[in-house]
Amino acid sequence: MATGRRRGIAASPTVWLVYAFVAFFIALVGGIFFTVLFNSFASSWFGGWLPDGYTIRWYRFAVDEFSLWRVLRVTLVVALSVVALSLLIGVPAAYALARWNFRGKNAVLLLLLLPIMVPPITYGIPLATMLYEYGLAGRLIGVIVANLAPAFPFVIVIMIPFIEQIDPNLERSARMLGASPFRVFTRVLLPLATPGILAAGLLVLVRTIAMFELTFLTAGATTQTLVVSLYYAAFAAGIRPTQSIDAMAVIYMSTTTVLLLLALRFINPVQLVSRVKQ
Amino acid sequence: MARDLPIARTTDDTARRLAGPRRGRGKERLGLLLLCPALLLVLLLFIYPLFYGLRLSLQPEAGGLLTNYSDFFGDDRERATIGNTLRLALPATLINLAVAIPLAYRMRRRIRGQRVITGLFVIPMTLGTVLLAQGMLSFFGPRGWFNKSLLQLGISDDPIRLVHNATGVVISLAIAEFPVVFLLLLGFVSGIDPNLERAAQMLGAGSWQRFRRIMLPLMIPGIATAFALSFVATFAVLPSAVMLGQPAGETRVIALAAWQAAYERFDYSAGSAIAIIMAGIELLVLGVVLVGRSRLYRGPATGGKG
Amino acid sequence: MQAQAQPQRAATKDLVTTERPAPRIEWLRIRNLTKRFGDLAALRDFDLDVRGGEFISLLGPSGCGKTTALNCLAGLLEPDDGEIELDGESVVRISPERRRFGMVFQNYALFPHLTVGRNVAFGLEMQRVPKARIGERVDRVLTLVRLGDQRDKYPAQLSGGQQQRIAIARAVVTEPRLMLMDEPLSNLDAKLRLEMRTEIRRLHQALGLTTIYVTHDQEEALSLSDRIVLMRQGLIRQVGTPREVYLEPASAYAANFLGARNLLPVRVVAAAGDVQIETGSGVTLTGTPRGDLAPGDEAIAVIRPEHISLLAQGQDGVNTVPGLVETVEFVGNGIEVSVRSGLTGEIIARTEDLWRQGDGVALRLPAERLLVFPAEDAGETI
Repeated sequence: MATGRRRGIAASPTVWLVYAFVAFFIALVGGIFFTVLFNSFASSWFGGWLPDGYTIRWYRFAVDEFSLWRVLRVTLVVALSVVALSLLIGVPAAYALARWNFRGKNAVLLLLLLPIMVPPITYGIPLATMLYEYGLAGRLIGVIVANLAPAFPFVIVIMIPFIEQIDPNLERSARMLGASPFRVFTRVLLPLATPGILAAGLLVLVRTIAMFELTFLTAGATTQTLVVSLYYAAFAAGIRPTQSIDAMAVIYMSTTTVLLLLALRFINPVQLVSRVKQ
Repeated sequence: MARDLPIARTTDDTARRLAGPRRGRGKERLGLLLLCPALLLVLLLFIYPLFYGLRLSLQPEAGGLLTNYSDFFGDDRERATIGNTLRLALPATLINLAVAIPLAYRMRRRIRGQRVITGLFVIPMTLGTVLLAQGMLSFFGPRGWFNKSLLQLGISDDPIRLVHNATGVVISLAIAEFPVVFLLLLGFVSGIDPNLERAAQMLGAGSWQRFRRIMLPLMIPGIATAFALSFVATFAVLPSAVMLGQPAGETRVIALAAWQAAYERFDYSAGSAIAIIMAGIELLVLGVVLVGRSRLYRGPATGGKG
Repeated sequence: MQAQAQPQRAATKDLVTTERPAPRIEWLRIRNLTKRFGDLAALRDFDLDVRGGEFISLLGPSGCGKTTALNCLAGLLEPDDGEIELDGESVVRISPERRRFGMVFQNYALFPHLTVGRNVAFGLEMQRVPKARIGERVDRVLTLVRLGDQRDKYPAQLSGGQQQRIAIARAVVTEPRLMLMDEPLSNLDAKLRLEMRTEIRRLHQALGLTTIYVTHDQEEALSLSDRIVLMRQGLIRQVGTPREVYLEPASAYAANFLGARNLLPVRVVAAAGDVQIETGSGVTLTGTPRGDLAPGDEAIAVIRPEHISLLAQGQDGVNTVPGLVETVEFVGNGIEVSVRSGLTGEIIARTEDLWRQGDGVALRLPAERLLVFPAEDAGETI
């Protein structure tokens, strides 16, 4: 028993350093977040620790002033379309990459990784210019197409390990039992891959809602998503009360948090980035 | 028996000739079919725009082929954006590595609250750069909670200015990129066979030597990847440099220069040229790190057949 | 075997040390070693005395506590209770890096970023041995494990067997006071496993290292050990030489784990001298009692396949029962025949005669080989 206590203490300083950093992190990020949250409900806030009074007026203001309903509808349409299309394209590709080895597979993987690794602003400007050229930019379809560029490679990267861990013998035995390839896909593979598909879908949803650069470069006045109209609102600060901008920010933040928490039920946070390391 | 044999062999051969190669080819064709849409799309939405941008950048509104590039490098204000961006991206990336390496190393073995802590560290992913910048303006502002606390604790008499300058941008970049750096390193460290550390310990290595001689060298590929990804992401900083920094001065970053060229001066050709320069620097860093890493890399970190 | 081992031993002796290898410790005493994981007692009251130079195997199925015991010895796990003493020095409170023990891991745990030479040199560098001496000792030990020419390769470039030799070389080069081996052969294929078994025996003879060896393979334990510690559910069940454990199992469990495959649930009829037992189907047999048995008790009768004689149908006598051959398996150095008889279940016998399925036979179970244990063991054996 004595030894247990001795080593317990000897090991703990480094653990306490971890906890100290966690506390610092919470204070920093929490401070930022709660500043925004409190301010969005503040009737006014001059110099005190807490607002002088509370109101929900700014949310109503945001609805009117920033055409919040339209913005939310655009955000939803864009994000859901991107999720659907990227799953449709990404899942089969991930299956092919998980199951078959072929020459040049590494080159293909690298090609698919690049749109994730290279920041969107880099290829976003030429992509947006191209979309303007073809008359797509400024319209919903243009925003969706631009957002698709990093989304479907992301689905592939998330799905490959999920499919790899499904025993290929299950598919073989289903084929041996007389199931057609289509039935193998719908009855064996799809149910087993569902957690991965859900996780990938939710993460793409979060990433698309949070995607500033590509939407910023391609959206027109009526096709702004939440994050872009938030940027314009903040950029033009001074014209509008900061509380109304913060109200938008809270709406934005609560959406992405709920979605990310949902995604984390299906996927370990470490898996979000683990593929990239290879 | 003897009579049966040739027939058996024939059917066998036929079966192999028919089934074997055809099935192989069919499999390949199916694989290609499944992969095709993705490949076409990546060519259409990523590779083609890059080449489109490259071609556009070589067709300036006036002047010769390389006018846009010589303009960029010839103009002090434009050229300075590279340095401005580096002065934001490098500190943010290095701070994150300095924090995340020991943190991930300590958390390679489960500690109490491991899951909650990793969950917490993911939060900045949901904040997004715009909300982060917006919040930081108030939080670090002269009457924000941060300066209020400093005054209350008597650490400082005057409010510290952490926004509307490069510091603010570096802080926001560090917060935004921390989840990726940390999770990448944590995944990498937990992938190292714990027996390697035990073996070193049994051979007489103390905790510092185990870190220095065994774990750190094995973490190098992970650190290199984390550095490359974080650097490239921070190098493309745009919204937080505008909102939190001095977009006309020290935080006029290269992405902003590209955006201003394309969307304020409507000179898409010059905008594309700057974007291509940005892509060139990013791909260069990615390439150097990834190639260097594969040179350094010595087999799997799991040891043995395990 | 002996004749072969002898010259090798003479040759390696020169390589390692000029004088006869004396054990580095006189004795090791383990008392009351206990380790709990939550509610589960992985190891309970582990007591063991080891003489210097002895080769001890901890044998048992997975989850029996053998690896827990080894890790507690190494210091990699902290025991909840107990004492470990080496020549009068208590080591429980000493951290693993200062115990000066050697350890070989199941997956070898070679450092993938270091060459073979640097792997082997690692322990010596930690001991701050002068550079020149390190090179010398690394060369000598690599020659000892017959990998003198692999010094500059990386572990990933070696075969499994070679990696295992390097792992052993890395552990022995530091001249550890105690050598700990955690199932070192279980990742190798069958042929290599036999080869490495001989190699480990040879090294042990050449270096005289006091060794604690963990395995779940009874053959490995029998062939390598001076003594075997048979474990189950965190407890030591029997300690003895391989011969003792094999021929004189202390329990039905021990007998079963060491290859006595026939276990018959029986009832004791008479227990004076040899024990009279009755099987479920009413056959009465005579056996040798092990433990307290009284008439009317439930008991377990155990016999090894090779101790059963298969006779032609119609023979009778003491402990002889008729049966029908169910399956015949050729197992290389003999034939295993499964017989359905009046006794409970199938009886497996080992023979050299060629029986065929459906043959009528008579099974003779010699009374001195038919060991009868109290039934309290029964639940555990299955």
